[in-house]
Amino acid sequence: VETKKEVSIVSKETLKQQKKDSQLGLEDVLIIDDDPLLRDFLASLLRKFSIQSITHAGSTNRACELMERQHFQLVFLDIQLKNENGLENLPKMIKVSPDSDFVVVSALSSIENAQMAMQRGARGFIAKPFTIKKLEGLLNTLNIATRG
Amino acid sequence: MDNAPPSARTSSFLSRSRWAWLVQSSKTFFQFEHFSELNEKRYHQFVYQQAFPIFRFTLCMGGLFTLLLTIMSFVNDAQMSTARILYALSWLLLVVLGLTRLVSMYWVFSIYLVLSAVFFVYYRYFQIDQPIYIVPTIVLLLMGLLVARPGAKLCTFLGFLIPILVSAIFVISGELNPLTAHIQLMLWFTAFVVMFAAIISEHGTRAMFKNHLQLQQARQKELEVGKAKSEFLASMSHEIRTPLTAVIGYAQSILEDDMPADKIESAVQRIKYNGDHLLSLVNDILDVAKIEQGKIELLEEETSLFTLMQEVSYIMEPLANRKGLQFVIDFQFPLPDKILIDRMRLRQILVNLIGNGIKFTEKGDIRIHISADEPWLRFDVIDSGIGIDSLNAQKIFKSFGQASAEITHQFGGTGLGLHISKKLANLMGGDLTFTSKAKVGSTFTVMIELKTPPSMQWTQHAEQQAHQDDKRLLQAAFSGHVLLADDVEDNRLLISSILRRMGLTLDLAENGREAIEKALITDYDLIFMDIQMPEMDGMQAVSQLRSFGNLTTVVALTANVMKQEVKQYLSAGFNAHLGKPIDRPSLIRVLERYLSQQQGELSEHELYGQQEFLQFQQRFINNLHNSLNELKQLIIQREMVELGNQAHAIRGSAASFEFTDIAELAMQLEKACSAGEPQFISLANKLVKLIENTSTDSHN
Repeated sequence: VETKKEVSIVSKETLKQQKKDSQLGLEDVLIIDDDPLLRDFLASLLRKFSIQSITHAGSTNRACELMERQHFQLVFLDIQLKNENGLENLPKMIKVSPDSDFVVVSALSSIENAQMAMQRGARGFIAKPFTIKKLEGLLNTLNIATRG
Repeated sequence: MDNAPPSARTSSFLSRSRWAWLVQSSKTFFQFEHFSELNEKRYHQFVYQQAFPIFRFTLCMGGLFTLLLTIMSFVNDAQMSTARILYALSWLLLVVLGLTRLVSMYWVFSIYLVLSAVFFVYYRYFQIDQPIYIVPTIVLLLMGLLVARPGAKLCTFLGFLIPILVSAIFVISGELNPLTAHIQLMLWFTAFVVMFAAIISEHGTRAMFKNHLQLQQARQKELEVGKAKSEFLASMSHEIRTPLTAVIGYAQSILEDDMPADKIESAVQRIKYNGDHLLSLVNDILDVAKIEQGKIELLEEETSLFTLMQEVSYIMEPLANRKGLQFVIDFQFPLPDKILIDRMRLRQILVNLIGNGIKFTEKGDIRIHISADEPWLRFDVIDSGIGIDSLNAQKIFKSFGQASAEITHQFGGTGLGLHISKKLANLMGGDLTFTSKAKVGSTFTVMIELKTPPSMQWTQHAEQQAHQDDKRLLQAAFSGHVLLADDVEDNRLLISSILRRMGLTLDLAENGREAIEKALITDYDLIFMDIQMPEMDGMQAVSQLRSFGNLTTVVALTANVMKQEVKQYLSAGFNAHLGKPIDRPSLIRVLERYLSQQQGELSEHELYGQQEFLQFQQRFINNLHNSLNELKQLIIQREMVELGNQAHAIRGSAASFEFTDIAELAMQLEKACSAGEPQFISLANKLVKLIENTSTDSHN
């Protein structure tokens, strides 16, 4: 009887472990956007994918400070920030946190923007408006577990 | 054998097997490979052509030399001149015989050779006593014969005839001494050498001729192919030029305004008719080219026989009825409910055969019998038309092989259809045959290999299934937001009208670049993307879209449906492909696959949660209202750059919260500001007014 119990415990633990693995880094998302409304909106959309802990930063400098202290799995970076261009600072940020997946966000869907983002090391590009479907495709592409 | 000690095998040199081998190889040595009767004749001609110059040369030299010697002998040695004159005369006789072709060159040469040998023996031995020259001279003569390669038989014959004659001369003249015996011995030896040499040489010549024949055949074939090709090209250009002339002619007269208004419609109809004809012609030509290059691949898929026939009758029945013909499909049960077949190609064959039937039938009916007789699936297309007489029966399966130019003129068509259909039937493991009686009608029979999926069942009735499929095809209605990317305006118009009629909301893009930019902004349920487009082609566009992390379903629209290419499309990121020109059933299948899930799925709003979204909208409007004063200030100060920045910010969030009118206006303002257009002030004022009038309540 005891051995049976052990087996069941082990399998439960591996299941938990698997679940943990599949949700790796879900709590570590950073959104860099100077518009608090859109920032909140993106965060609320991400929560639908059971991503809970989301950090905000208004500028790339602030983001770098945060990243030095904490590891983020996923970073959303807006191009048009107040007084600076997110794309230009992307390489600098990748240097600070090379393991993070950077996704560039823009209201301009021009291909040049997107291509440049990918060239500078982004793992994805997403144009506003944000939608669940876009995020779903993005998270699937980046192999990050989504809801369900 | 294997148990025998090795010494037993090696002890005798000519063991039985060795002996057999020797006999065998000597047999092959003495036997020649013979060609067919015609080629044997050709071989002799070939040999003769090569031998002739050598004969000629030898004869000339022999004659001239003798002539010279004869003249000299008058001066030195009057005694010899009689013999020389005789020799020269006989040479002259031989040459005349040869030139007048009374005697073949072989005979002339052989007689000349024998004569020379006899004369030489007589002259050298009996007249001037120089027997030492006899053997080398005769060997030289025989070598000349060998070089001319007239064949082993003749060489051997002459090779032996000469020593016999020489021996006879010596015996008759009683000159049997050691010297003549040596001469004879050497000549007999020479005869054997000549025989072997001639046999080897004939083997060589025959091998050479064989190569020559093969080369010639290859060249002949090449010439024939070339001829067929140029004939094909010639008739093709003619076929293409005819409808093209009509199209250009009608278009020209419409343009030049010299056409009465009531005629224009019929002219346009003619243009369309000729254009359609041209398209089918080009399609046929492409098919022929593909077939000839072996590039057609059949895509076998599970297909209902009844649905397929339904589709065929949708296309063909109206055509038959328009001519007042009855159109009857006669299923001969039991039939399999599902088959594995390249449905497009089978349909192509049937449409072609039925189309022909309708074309050549004035009254009566067109019947299609369908029966399954394992391992065959059989379609008989029976018409009561003009029929095909036996004279033309051979031609009809050839490309451009319509019975006559007159028929082409009267009935139209390219004559490629039957050729293609037959080849396709062959590819399907079967054949296309026909029986016909002039003025009674024709029956075309397609037999193809019956392949069925494991789930197949034999069925006794077709009604229900066909009816269901039929309904499905007719009532196809979908909902969804679809993007269509195609660079050709006509294609966009055509495909979009089909898609709109099915109830879809449509956006259009002219190239891959535009498609990506639209797809990044809007969540489409489905994207149809042409492959060949300027600026950025479909393949690039899809792989870029995927690299950005966008997983919208993309269907490739393309005329290339070869397996290899389809594979490429799928690996580039396309979800599916659809052949061009669009065929309704395939389109419906694709839409069913990717849009039917849509109905069960929640919309963006529902997905997100209505209440929460409303809160965000409220916050957005509040923010906007709060920033109104700042905006107005900027307008008064005419701060174009800053206004542009503001407009950009508003646009991004307005779209997110579904205030499309605000987003649209903000985008116009942004553009105007960045372009420095003076109307930016009025646009900004409009925007302010719009924001003032917008509240979440009015929006919803």
